[in-house]
Amino acid sequence: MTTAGSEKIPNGDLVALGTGLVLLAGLTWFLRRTRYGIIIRAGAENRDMVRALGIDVGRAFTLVFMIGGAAAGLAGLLNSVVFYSSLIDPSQGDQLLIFAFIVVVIGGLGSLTGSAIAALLVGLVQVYVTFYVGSGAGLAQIGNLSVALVLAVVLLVRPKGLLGKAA
Amino acid sequence: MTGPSTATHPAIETADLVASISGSRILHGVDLHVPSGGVTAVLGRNGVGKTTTLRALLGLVPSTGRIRVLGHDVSGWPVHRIVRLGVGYVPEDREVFARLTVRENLRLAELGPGSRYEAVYELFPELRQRAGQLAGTLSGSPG
Repeated sequence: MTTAGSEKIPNGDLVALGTGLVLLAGLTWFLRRTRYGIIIRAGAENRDMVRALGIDVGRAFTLVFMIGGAAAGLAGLLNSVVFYSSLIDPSQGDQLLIFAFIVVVIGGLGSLTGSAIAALLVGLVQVYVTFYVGSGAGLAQIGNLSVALVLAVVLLVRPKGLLGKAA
Repeated sequence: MTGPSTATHPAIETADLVASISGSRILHGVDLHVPSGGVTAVLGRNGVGKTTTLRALLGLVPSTGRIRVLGHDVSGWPVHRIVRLGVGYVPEDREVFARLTVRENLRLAELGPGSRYEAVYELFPELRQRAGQLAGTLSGSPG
């Protein structure tokens, strides 16, 4: 436990928060500054033209798949640290999967920053609504419902997502 | 470069090149002979397959038949290997990467070490001032 003012914050939460920020900064740097990052962004836009420049796009997208898998594995690890007392269980992702999907859709496909903003938005909406409204009878799922409503509103108002590039 | 030299081989040779795009056959057996050391133009009205021929040469469109580039039989090669033989492709609608900056577009086009921005910037000084601008916001770009 770490004490901040009158609140006690579990160390696991701080580790998850810090790791998320470091990962976001690292991935942003990778995509913006490195040659592979530029290839990946260009390939997402027009794969054939990247090939026509003499670049092996397949290799770059294998790397994307590896990074995605590694990030998902790290997320599972952090999830177990925060919610499962560091126990790992093959089905622990089931509850998170739908939220991860909602976060990506709200953030906008193809946008890292969008996903980061959407992750905070979805998490905070879910927790605040559950805390302030969810104590009433039959309202235990109101937090999840509110997230679905946020998704619906975003899709109605901005079908591309907050920072999405592809419709 | 290893392999056959450019002096003794035509730049590009195709035999019975056949290509289809989404089920309809575009190229019906193209035999092409492009000598090296010259400029060759392919003329024809819209839709006769000029672009498809070029894309098939690069491997961007699947094709059957034989393709030789600088003496190498490149049939079935991945696109990037064919390009690295020394093939450049500039499509008519200037397919720059709109969401990359000018500098990133130039960086992408570099194969191997050694920056050639300077040569590009000397030819087109305006690009130096616009190096950090998104290519999609340049005039005449596809947006």
